[in-house]
Amino acid sequence: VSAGLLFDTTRCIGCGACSAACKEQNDLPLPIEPAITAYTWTVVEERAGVNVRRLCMHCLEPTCVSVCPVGALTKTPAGPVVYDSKRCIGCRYCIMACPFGVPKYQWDRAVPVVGKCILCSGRLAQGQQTACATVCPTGATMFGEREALLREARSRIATSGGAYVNHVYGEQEAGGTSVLMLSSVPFERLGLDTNLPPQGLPMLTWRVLSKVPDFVAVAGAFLYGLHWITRRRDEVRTSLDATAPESQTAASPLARARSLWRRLTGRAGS
Amino acid sequence: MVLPIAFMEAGAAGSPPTPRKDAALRLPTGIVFKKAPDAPAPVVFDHVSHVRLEGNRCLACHPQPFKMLRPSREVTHAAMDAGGSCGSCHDGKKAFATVDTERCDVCHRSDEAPK
Repeated sequence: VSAGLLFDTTRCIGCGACSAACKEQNDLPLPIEPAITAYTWTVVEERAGVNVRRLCMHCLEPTCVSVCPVGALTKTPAGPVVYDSKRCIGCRYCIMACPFGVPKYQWDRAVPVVGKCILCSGRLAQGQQTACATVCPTGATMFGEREALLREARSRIATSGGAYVNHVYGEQEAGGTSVLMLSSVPFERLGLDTNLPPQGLPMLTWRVLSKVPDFVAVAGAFLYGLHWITRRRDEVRTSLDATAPESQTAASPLARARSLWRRLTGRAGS
Repeated sequence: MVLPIAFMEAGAAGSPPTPRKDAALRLPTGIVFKKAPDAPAPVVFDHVSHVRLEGNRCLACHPQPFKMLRPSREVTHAAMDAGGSCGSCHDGKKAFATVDTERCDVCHRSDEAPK
């Protein structure tokens, strides 16, 4: 049972109450910027004649979580993808990895951290809804359990008589997201990526990473083999040098040093 | 409580998408500010008379000067007259002034105060 949001472009009037409540809830500095930043975690954008919210989609299998080398990002069982600034080392890999371009960096700070929507995980823990859903005056942002929201979304599509695009954005995208969207215009016109695979993106790296132990074992054995062959050839050559006539052993200082070393360590070779 | 609109889901399964201009706004009603001892009546704030649907007016008052989630219900006339809270619009230019002694009853409305 994990929480999510259902956003419906046909109900949003673009009033920005969600942005204002988000600022207040998360003690973020004003103003409300026109696009999401490290300090503005959600905005309403007008695209293709409708209003669409930008916020963290809270993936079921978040790429940001899988790439974070220090575990600063976590997908909680309650639904939110949360961020711990104390663990963050500022590598910004999450920013590169996110398929929705959500995490943003505090470029203006001397000691910056990442900023992104955390689905009001503190409010959720207290049994409250997200701030944005609480204040939304039209119900365009609806809070609930993801499964229930999916049913609601499907029923809205089914009973609308074609007013919606027949797709719930976030049901499948990148393996599914906790934030779902309904729209009356094609999602690609809202600036949303409609070419995301239906599997979680961490699976792509997992396919490679899961082979690392095998690779290490095989490559290790191969390299040891090379080492053994090289050493053996060396041994054979130096033992041949030792049995060769004096005139030839005087050839190089290196060969003399080797010969001396062999005598000192008592390793005569075969 | 502080959140009268808490959560009301109008989207009962089956309701068609609401056209933007007809969207009925679910806003807190009858917000009563704390009555000062010398005030004629408590101030009752009405969202309906303040919100313009066209033009995204939520942000004119939220989150500054009025918070949405943890709103203060205590405002002094001195602060408003100096341009704070209500006074940021009710300055005699954008809207009638808070110092307008002819119109006390526009805001101080005992009839709408809860029992």
